[in-house]
Amino acid sequence: MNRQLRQIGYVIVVLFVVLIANLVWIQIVDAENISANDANTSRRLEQQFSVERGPILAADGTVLARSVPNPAGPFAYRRNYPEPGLMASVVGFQSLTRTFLSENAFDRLLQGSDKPVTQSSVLERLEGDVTGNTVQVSIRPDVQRAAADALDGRTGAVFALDPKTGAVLASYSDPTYDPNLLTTQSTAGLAEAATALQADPANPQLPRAFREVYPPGSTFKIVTAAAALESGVATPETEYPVLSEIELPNTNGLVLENFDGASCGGSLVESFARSCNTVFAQLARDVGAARLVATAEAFGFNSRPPFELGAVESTIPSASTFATDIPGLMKSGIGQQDVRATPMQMALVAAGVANAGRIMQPQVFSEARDEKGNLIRAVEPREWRTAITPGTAATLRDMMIDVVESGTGRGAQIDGVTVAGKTGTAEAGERTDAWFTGFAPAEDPRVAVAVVVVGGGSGGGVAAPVARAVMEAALQ
Amino acid sequence: MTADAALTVRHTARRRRRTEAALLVLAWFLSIGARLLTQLASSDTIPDDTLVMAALIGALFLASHLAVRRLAPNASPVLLPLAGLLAGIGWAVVARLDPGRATDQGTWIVIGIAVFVGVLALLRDYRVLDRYRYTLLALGVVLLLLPLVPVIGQTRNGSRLWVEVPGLGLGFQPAEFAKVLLVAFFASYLGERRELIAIAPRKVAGVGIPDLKHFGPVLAVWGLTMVVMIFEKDLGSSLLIFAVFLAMLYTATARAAYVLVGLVLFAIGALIAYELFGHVQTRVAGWLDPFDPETVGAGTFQIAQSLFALAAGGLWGTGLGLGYGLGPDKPVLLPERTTDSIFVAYAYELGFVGAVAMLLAYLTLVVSGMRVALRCAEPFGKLLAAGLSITLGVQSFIIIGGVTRVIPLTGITLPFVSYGGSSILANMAILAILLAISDQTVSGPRGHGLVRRKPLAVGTPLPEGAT
Repeated sequence: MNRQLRQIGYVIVVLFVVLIANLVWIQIVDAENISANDANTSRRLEQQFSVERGPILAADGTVLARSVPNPAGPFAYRRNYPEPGLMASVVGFQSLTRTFLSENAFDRLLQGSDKPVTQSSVLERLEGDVTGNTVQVSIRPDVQRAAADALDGRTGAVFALDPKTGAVLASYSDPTYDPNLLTTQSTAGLAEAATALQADPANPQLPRAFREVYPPGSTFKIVTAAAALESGVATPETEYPVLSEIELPNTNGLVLENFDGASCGGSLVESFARSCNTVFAQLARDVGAARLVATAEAFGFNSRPPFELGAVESTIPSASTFATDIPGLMKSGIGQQDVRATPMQMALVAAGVANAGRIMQPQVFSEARDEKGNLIRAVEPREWRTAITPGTAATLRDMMIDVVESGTGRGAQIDGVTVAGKTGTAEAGERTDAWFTGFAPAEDPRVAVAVVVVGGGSGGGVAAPVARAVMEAALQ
Repeated sequence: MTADAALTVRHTARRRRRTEAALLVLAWFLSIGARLLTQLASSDTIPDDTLVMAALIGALFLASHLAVRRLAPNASPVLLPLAGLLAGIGWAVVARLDPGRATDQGTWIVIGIAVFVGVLALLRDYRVLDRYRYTLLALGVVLLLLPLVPVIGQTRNGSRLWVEVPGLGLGFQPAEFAKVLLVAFFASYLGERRELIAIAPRKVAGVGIPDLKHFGPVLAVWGLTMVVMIFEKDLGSSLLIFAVFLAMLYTATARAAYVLVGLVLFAIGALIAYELFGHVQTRVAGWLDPFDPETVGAGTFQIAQSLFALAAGGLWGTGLGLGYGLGPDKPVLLPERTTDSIFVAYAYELGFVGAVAMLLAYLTLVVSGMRVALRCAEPFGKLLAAGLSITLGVQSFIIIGGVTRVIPLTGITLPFVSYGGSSILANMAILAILLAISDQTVSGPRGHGLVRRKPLAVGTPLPEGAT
């Protein structure tokens, strides 16, 4: 009978191995997935709000988000935002039902749930003293404040980054809102506040800097010029006729005018400084759809930027679309028709020019430390893509310097600093959006910026001064 | 027994009891530690009763150890410490989950140790059980069917497995005791008839097909478990008893055909039960899709909450006493937390690491019991030790597998750990029988029991016969 007993013994061992394997799956491999189930709300909330979630700090140490004791309950801690309106479009919020932006992107770090498992953290868990990690972001409150003050309540957005590292210095969107409204731990109160914010036609929760696209208008001429220079279709000295309008082919005489119907032309450099639509529409046609689209894609169009807070894609139609639509190609060359860009994307175009053609991945995360101050994770700058050659970048930089020194972008001039930039005045249906994108100092860029003032009017008159204020703050 | 052999036996006994004592000290530390941790989770100071509890648990371990020294000195040294560890940890966890049940559970453990000592004292020759074969059967069947008797039988949580005499206030789960009696009956019956039953006059495709009339016992036990399943709706007990019976039948006869036929019969029964009863369908639905939004708040709530708790525990667990939704003062999310789901509560707070430790403790317990069976030379003792060990193993698998979604959930207790008097007492009796067999395999029957018998010659195993 012993042979059978051994066989049965093996069967029982196998049964227990199955139990252990199943626990590996439930408690380790699939645990996060199981915990995230909707039906697990109660335990998830308890886990989220019973520990002191780590604070979010700005680059200078300013507290942007923190956990405060919540004696009124039901949970031990509540989130609080000391710089509500100013930082909402970067920090986001943590409510009972969701996390948004930085609170979402760095949730596990803040919650302390992805600490390395060490002896001490096990003991801490036994003692019930789990504390979240501190997350520092690269946002500079002075730059962010300058953006908010310069926009002054007008609908629009500012995105500024260090072109050499990709560190985001400011990302501001107006109108904004107070995320403290969403930190209530009353389900009914939260629903009411969330509904009110969502119903607001001004859409204050939208981070326009990287989650909304607008026609980039003439700021897109940087891309068109880059395509022309890279392909040899034009040099800075190539001369173009001075025109006030250019006829669009196959349209029975429809024309494309320069801004205010002005006559405009001359060398490529002059045409760029004065933002001649006639020249760049012709240039787009000369370059051809394939090269224009390829250059735009090299700058990041038609792909989702790898940004922690989740950016939307900026778009240009595929080259084949333009095969039978030469007028569309010409309008696309001046950033109209179906070209759409986030302020972040246009800031990345400027950053690419500023950084010898290489676009760094935009990152808002700086570092995370545990409650004892030990560094857990630090940002590593990495290149996102190479847009253009260093030679083309140098040429474009000089052309953008001319824009600010003597062209449409004079509103962005800063005393004692060489600023490079490009204005845009984009027609968006009934609206005219004011754009500016640029960088400074031109010789050794430390900040690249893009500004859109929705329905603001002229780029040179409205957006350039906003960009100037932001760059000036960044260079302090 | 020669003088030399007697000396070897005494030497073995001393070594084994020393090992047991050392392991019990370890189990004692772990039990006290577990209790202390659960209490420190909600208070900053060491509770006043710590020394008292340490002394009490120590006294219980010491008493059982001394009883083994006196009554079964040659017995395996690991069975008692493992059971003690499981009971000690189980008590701490029950007390943490539901303080109102702590004293009850402690009382049952004390009585359980009395039962343990009593069974050891009575079974000076365990083979006495072999002589009461049909008494065991009758008692077992009566106990198993007792909940069906009107007035005293009661339905709890959809299953009719509880017996309580009205007015007395003291009830029990007869199935817990019935399983021990039935295993003893199976061992006795199969031990004697195994060669007869194993005869396979015909062969089909290389598999021996036994005579149809010997399927009688299989059909009888199947019928019994079907009654339990259908009329008492006690899926766990019927599955356990039938599985253990099949394993013992296979051990006795080496005929895989019995197992196959048995499995087919059980599958038919399970299918009928599934078709007939809503609660079976609910259990299966919970096993297939615990998170179905339609049922997660009701029918599959228990299994879904179990999985949430396990997942929340992760690798290291929250720490004893720190799990959320386990009571007593916080909201209670885990149903049946001191009985069916106690393993989940434990694995939540002590994590995967603690869960594996407990599984290994059960596995070691079962394997040690199987070794008792392997070493026992005579068929009744061999089958009895095997049957009881398999019972512990299969029962642990059914309930742990049930609450962790390996198999559909069928309510049954976790041996030594779950809250409940019947479970504690029955399992303590199982432990005592295993120790008695283990001891007497070395020494032969001891003289001063109720029944005197000629000692069995040491070292001359009985012929293995058809096995």
